[in-house]
Amino acid sequence: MKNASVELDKLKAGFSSWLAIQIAHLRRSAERARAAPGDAAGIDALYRDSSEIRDVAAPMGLPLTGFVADYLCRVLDLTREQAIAYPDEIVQCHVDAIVLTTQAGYCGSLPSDQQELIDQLDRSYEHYCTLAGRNRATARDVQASAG
Amino acid sequence: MRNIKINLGELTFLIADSNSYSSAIAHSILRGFGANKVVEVRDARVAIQVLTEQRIDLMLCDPALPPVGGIEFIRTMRRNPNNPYRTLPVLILTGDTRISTVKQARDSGANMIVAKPISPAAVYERLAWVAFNPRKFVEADTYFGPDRRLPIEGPPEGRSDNDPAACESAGPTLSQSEIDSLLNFARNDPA
Repeated sequence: MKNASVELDKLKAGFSSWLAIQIAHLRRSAERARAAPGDAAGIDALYRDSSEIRDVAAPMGLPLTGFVADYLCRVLDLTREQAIAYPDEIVQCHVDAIVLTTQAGYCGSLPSDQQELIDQLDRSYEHYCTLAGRNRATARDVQASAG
Repeated sequence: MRNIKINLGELTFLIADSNSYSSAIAHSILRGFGANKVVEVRDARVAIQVLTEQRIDLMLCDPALPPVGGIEFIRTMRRNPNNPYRTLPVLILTGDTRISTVKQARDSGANMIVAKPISPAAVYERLAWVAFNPRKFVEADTYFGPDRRLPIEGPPEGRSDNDPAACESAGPTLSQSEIDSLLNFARNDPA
């Protein structure tokens, strides 16, 4: 197990440059989706960019970044399921939050360290779940049930 | 389960994931466990080529694998009775842990489903599970794959809350232990 952790640590050296490129892709995809909110392929591309960050950020030492990217994926899931119209404002907020979590002061934080940010994301997600007619648990619900 | 030692040095792994960094993470974890034969591919077409040309002992596959998706790729692989790698052990590594996706992954014939972001412990436990607790393959009209019921002792432990690599998903998505429990519940599903 220790050897595996050592191998993972070696990967971290190249992660910041990969993440910078990935965030640039994410921003471009968000701009394209804003310009053509009815284009399913564009929303799929945005989802793909976000999910790639979600899948790797935590093992590379950015769990909060992965957490926010996961939230963006879940918002986009609702859009992809055609439950709601493309929520440009909330997408932009999530993209900005992803960028924020990579910067000093947030970098390396756990979601539980940034409760205010998580609460804001929860409220946004709840709002869109309501618009979509869905009843879905938020991070706060999960934390409460775990406690 | 964590005390069991498995020798991965002689095995050849195939990682099928379009995300190069995610693939590199899986590769690093396997290398840390002693695996020195790991092949990475970015789409299903190349995966088929590799599977046809060399012996692969276990495949790790992402559900978003282009062009048709990893779940459909595995389903097709399992359903073809003439396929020489039809019974290849497959672990699906997925960041999309919505219950619908996990059920589709299970019903495609995957041996195990591991939630991304992956941790060394989660991967090791499931590799050990596949190695030491092989399940018989079931052939039915709508399914070919390992018996979706797990033995009574249940699946391996989920990710530890103290695991720094673990970032539990919220909302409609499932945790690793909930994903594992779906295999237990599968005993009530028609094959």
